[in-house]
Amino acid sequence: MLNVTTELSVLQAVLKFFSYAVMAVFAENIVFTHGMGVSRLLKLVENRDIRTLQYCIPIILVQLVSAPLGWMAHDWFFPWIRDYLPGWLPATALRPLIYLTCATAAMAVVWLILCIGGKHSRPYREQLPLATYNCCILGTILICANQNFTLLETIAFSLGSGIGYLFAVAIVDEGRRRLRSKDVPGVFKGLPSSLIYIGILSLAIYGLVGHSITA
Amino acid sequence: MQNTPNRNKPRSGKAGKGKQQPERSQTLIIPQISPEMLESARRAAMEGKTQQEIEQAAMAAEQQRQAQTAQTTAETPKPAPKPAAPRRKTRAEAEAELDQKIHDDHLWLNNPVMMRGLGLAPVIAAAYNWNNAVMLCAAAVLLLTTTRLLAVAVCHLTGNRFRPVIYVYSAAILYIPAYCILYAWFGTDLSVLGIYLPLLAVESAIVKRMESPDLEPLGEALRRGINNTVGLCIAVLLVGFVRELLGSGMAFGNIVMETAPLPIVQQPAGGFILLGLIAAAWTGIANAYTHFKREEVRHQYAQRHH
Repeated sequence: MLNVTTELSVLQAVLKFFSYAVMAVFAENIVFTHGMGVSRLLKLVENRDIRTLQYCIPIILVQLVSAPLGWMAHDWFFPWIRDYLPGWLPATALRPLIYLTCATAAMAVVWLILCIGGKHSRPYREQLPLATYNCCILGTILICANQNFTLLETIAFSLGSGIGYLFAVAIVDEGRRRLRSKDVPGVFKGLPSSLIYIGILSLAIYGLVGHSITA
Repeated sequence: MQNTPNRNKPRSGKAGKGKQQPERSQTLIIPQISPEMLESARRAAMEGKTQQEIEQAAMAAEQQRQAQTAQTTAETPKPAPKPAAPRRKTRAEAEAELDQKIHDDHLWLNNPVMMRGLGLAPVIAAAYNWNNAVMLCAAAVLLLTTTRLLAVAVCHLTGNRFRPVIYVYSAAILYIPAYCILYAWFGTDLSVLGIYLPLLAVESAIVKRMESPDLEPLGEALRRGINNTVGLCIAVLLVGFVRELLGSGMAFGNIVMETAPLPIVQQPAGGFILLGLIAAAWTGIANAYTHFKREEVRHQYAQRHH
């Protein structure tokens, strides 16, 4: 039987989960605040062959699955491996290799999950490798590790980052459509106008929050 | 060949000899008529020869002409074959060559950062002063070309399969010695780059090639890798210098202005906007140059017609 204290702790955990997820979507958006995955995002909004969801759903799923793996690597694997590494090799040098392995394992799990969908999930599976090795996946794992987030916070932040990437793609896609206007000077068309547009959105978030998590 | 009677009709050459003969009209078939045959046939007709005799005379004249031609050809020395002149390029070929040159120019006309939008994360979030830009450049020098070479070599072994995995793992493995070298060069200053240094392992400027299904030769990978590295370094150093100058009023770590004119450019938001403005200026200059080169090709080929 649950008592009041237990119910409160569960409620607090749920609240914390949502607050971290919402923070990752808006205040700490992986694109607007950290500038990660912008190159791929700009290619994605240009390319009409790939739909936004076909690329972003794999990102969200990989973020979600790789988050606990990244947390385990940071909290368990690195403290253990430090004792075995030679003096000239710092453990931080292994971070990309270990975290990419977490992402690759997550990709394998997501691929199996998507296989359940049969041929309908084929476009998602085709985008899975590029989505897995997007900057925002490794970037999110690294941010969570640097901030020493708990497992719950890590999962919430990773889920929010994935949704935040989808949010950023949707906003930039709409902006990009409007920036095709002939009123935009020739030299600003394409990459320059998109960067300025993302910069203004980023400035709005910066004005709203006023600070950012130290990367 | 069928000759009309008007041309080869044997005319009577004896009109002035008393009784006029009735005019004959018949068709004479000669396979391949030449002026000599025609003249011979005309003479024979004037002499009042029969059709068979006329044909024989014409054929004899043709055989004689062919024998003379063969003799002349045998006697005349053949001129030495002229060396083949270099074939002039067509306008389409010249334009295609120019397009290829523009595409291959990763320093200015097709710069990975300013024109193609690659490697934006470290440029926007980490290259906010000269020191950081130099560290990022050093990391790019150590990682970009070597990753490309290693990944291409492995892709040759695997038959160009599993490209994304090969590229990012090549970068992650090469990051280990690169980090040790960078740590020896820059010491604890390296921590200022934060997560943007390990993030280079998946940065599009380094592993963008994984998206291309064409397997390039190692020599080409080396050439393009060096070009991309130089292009990336130019862009990172330029952005780092401008952001330091505007954001903190300093140049190469020395104070040059009392107050920073635009502190926001040190933040990612300002970095996006400033990079957008620099990219616009870069695009304008690059477009003007490519337009000039295209006009040059157009004029060159327009003059050839006159």
